[in-house]
Amino acid sequence: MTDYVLTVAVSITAGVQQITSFFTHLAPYQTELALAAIWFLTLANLRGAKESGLLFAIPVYFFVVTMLGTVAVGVFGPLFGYHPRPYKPPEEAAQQALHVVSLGLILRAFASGCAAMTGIEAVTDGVQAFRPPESKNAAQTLLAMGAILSTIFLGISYIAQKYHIIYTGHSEGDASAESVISMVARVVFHDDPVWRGVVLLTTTVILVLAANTAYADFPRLSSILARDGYAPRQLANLGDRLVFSNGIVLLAVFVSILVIAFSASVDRLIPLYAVGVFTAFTLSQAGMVRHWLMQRGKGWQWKVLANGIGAVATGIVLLVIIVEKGPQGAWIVIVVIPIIIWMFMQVKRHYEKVRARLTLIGYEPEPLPPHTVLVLVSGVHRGVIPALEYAREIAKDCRAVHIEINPAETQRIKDLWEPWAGDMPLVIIESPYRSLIGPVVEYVKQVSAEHARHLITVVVPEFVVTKWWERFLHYNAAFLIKMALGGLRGVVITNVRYWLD
Amino acid sequence: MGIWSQLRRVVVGHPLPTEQAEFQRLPKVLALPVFCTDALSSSAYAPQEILLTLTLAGTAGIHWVVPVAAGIVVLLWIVTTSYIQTVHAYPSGGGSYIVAKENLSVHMGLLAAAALLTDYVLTVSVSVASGIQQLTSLIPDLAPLTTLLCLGVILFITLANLRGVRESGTLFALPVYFFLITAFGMILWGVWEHHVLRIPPYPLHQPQPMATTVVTFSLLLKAFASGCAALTGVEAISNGVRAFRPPESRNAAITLVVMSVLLGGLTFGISYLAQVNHVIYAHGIDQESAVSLVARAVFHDNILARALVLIGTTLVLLLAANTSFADFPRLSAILARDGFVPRQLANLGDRLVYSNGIILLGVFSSILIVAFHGHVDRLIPLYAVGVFLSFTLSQAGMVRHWLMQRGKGWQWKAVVNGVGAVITAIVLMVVIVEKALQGAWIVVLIIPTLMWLFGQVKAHYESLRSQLSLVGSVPEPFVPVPHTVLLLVHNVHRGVIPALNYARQISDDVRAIHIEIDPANAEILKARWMQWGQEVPLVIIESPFRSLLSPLVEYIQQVQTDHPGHLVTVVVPEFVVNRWWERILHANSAFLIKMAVANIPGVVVTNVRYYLRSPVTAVGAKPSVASLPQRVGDIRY
Repeated sequence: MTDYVLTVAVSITAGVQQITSFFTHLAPYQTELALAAIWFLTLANLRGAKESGLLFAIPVYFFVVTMLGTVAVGVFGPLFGYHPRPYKPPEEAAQQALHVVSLGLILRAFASGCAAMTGIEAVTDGVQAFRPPESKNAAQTLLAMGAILSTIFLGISYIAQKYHIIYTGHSEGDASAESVISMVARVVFHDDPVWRGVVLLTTTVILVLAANTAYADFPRLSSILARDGYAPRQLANLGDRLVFSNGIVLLAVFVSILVIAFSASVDRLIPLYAVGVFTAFTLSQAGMVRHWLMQRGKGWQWKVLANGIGAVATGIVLLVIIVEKGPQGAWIVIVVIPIIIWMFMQVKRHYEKVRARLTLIGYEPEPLPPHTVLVLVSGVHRGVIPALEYAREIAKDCRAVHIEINPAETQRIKDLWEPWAGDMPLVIIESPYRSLIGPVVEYVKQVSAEHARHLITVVVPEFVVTKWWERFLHYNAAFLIKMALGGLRGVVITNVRYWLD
Repeated sequence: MGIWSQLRRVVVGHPLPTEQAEFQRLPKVLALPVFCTDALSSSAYAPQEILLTLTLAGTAGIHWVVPVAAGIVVLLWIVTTSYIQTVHAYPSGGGSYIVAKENLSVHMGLLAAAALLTDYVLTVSVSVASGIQQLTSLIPDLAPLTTLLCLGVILFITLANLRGVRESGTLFALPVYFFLITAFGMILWGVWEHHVLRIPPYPLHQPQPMATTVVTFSLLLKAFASGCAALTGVEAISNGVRAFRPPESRNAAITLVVMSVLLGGLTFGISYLAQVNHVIYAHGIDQESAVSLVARAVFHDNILARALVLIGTTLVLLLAANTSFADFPRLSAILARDGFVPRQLANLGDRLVYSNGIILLGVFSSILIVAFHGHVDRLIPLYAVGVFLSFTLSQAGMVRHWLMQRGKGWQWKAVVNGVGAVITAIVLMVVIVEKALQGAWIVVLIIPTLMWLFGQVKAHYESLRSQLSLVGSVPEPFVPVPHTVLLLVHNVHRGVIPALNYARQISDDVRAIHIEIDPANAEILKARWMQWGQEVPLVIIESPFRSLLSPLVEYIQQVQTDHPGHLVTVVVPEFVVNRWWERILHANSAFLIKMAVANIPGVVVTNVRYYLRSPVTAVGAKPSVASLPQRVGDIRY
């Protein structure tokens, strides 16, 4: 799950970096651009998966063609007498170039490069989104993807090495670095802005779409977790567009936080990303080994071997990344993953507990208890009358309660009470400190103590004003009383509203 | 008692019963500090503002400081004489609002009230800002923290006032008398030096004044308008006559006269010393205050003597802010009782003070401080407009009062107040014209806005009163109407049982309603309801778009049209989790349902809670019917 969040973050920021490589004056707005892209994707996904699927295909093929074209020109061009122009790095970069060749940096480059592989897992998780026969189609897609990916990856790396492209990353005080792809395109196409623009545009689009795969997967995975009781149940709700809306929004929120925290810098996000990805790879490979060992189907030895090698290899890479990139931010992922697991457990425990307490097993219906109703009255006026009638409607034993804040008012209320509600007893409670809530709570507690087995309802009259600002002109005592009494057990609070015109 | 109420007790004190209200009255010695600090402390910034304006004219301007100050003192005495009459005519405490409202018209009263309220807020801001300026004159390192210091002081004064006026009276008496002694000490010593010892002016390290330019009449008017800030606070006593010990009017009048003598002496004395010592005052946030400059000159840079004067001035300025904290809540409570501002402002809090008004004043004055960065010279131009507006209205009202009453010697009294009214009106015009561009326009805009708000609030309360009134209608005997109860059932579990029982308790016509979001679930639900539903009919409503609220609202509206005249209650079961974070794990649909359904007129919503805390495993272990009702804790409604 961490990984999906990071996929979106990395893809979006990398996409934005392509844009800013082309339009350099946009560089200071990287964070804003990234956030805008995230929320655009979120809205698209809230509309539904089918539509975003259609949106997908054309740019993907377009990207593959342009990238393969670029690589082809770069690699095979010299055979036909077309020579890419070597990249001329700025002077400071040339200085740094001397230090570049060290083992640590090679490992680092490799670890970062591995991020390219993370797209692979998205396909396996998304199996159910394929047309039937799902497994076969998915496997074919996976193979094709692996092939294309490795070609492009190797090609780009080859060109980059051959023409001495040095990627310095975000150095201090420098808002943005030009992306590697942009530099490669510069080399291959001799700084021609049209070609470089096309390459960068498709790269951007494909990266944004890569983020989109996570938008399909994160909500799906979280809904599975929610159904099993490991995540809040709301994540399993299908929204009214038949998508897991809550999961989509949650993903967008987390990604936005990450992008802001790392000010949309790809180079600072990559280390986090790689850890998550390779943890997932290693675990899934190890799981497959176990799977074959248990099943022992036809040719299981081979299969165990294949997955075993995979598990060991990805495990080693994981260790490399943690050692090399730990201090650069990978530690965050290492800390976060156990915390998330712990949260899953807590959530599960809570749901189990609730289930145990809500069960009806062993419950016997019981006779209805006697019912006492208290009506809170602030005075005798139209707003109170419906509440008095309601109280009479629901129980025989009704009392009106008035909290005396201004003793001068009391006599007036008593006088009016006789004609309007003389048959209902009126209890007057003194409030020496002019507080309303305290005496009400005290009295209700007292009544419920005296009538231990009674059901007690407190009816709170409330008048509803027509304009929002008019609410500030009233005490909103009804709301405060509801809050205060809400904590009392064995007491039901009902408010009866009177609508003003 | 929760942590908040405990904290409140520590900061604000224990609640006071209503009977103690009568004892919150002040003797004269304590009334002077409580009501007069505003006026007295004006002497700290009024001469400074005169200097600020006249310095623009260079050395020639400085010679006009004393004449302008003398003009201010004359004006002060005109106003004081007028107010002595007001205090006697309105022993219950009136001030400009009551006087103008009773004698002129409600609108004039509201105009005065709006002017006064803006003014009280400004008094707090100006006094605190000026007090902090005195402090930073003494300790220049603090100058960058001006805004923060101002806010801290306002917070402190707000808390002190929430505790109650009597205690703050004692708290504030000592510093005021300390200020009077040090300030008059400085003036007397300064005069002694100049006239008896004939010591030449002490050279101050300050920028040389510009070359002499012509002192225009307009400049003098400007200086006079600035100096009018000295008169702020004179009306405070007339607003608070009720807080004096009996005989209220007499005591108040005596205090008023004493106050004017002291204020006149201070303003004139400081201006005089500033002139003879050639003190210059210019704009700037780190500018040393005029009082500090005068003290420097008089005491020849003696740090101890200057510190004493400045500390006294600072304290009295901060306490001046306190005057407003006595007046603003009182005036707003009177307005609230008349229905022009929200009623909550008339609430006596549990410490017998108008807590809401105090807090409101603290908030508004803090906003001003932040907006003007605690810079006193930028706040002053806003100040005098409100003061002189309320003076004029109050005096005019008094003239009318005498004309109506025609008591003994009414002609003479009417003339006194008439002169006061005309002069303060002229000053008001001068202040508006001279200061409009420097910020007075803000006040000129705010006062009508406030009046409009008063009108809106009043209209609301009036319409409310007429709608709630029972006058004209006759009590009818109670006739029970049919009552339909709709019980919402999301799932059949223990948490629904109390709601089911409650629904059956309040009516015989109960229906269980289930909104079908997952059709697969509905069959199970039906079967379980057969077992546990106590023969209450179950209605299943389809929701093709998986929404909970709209099908429910539609169903309720349909029930209402099918059974006109029925009372409809919706019972919503809700289970309550133990810890706050557990709440996010549940859909909280009960709350949303309540919000949606409560807005349908004629429907009563009740939610019946089931608390999860108790160990329900016991139910499974001991399924005995007899034991159930006794364990009250288990079945919680």
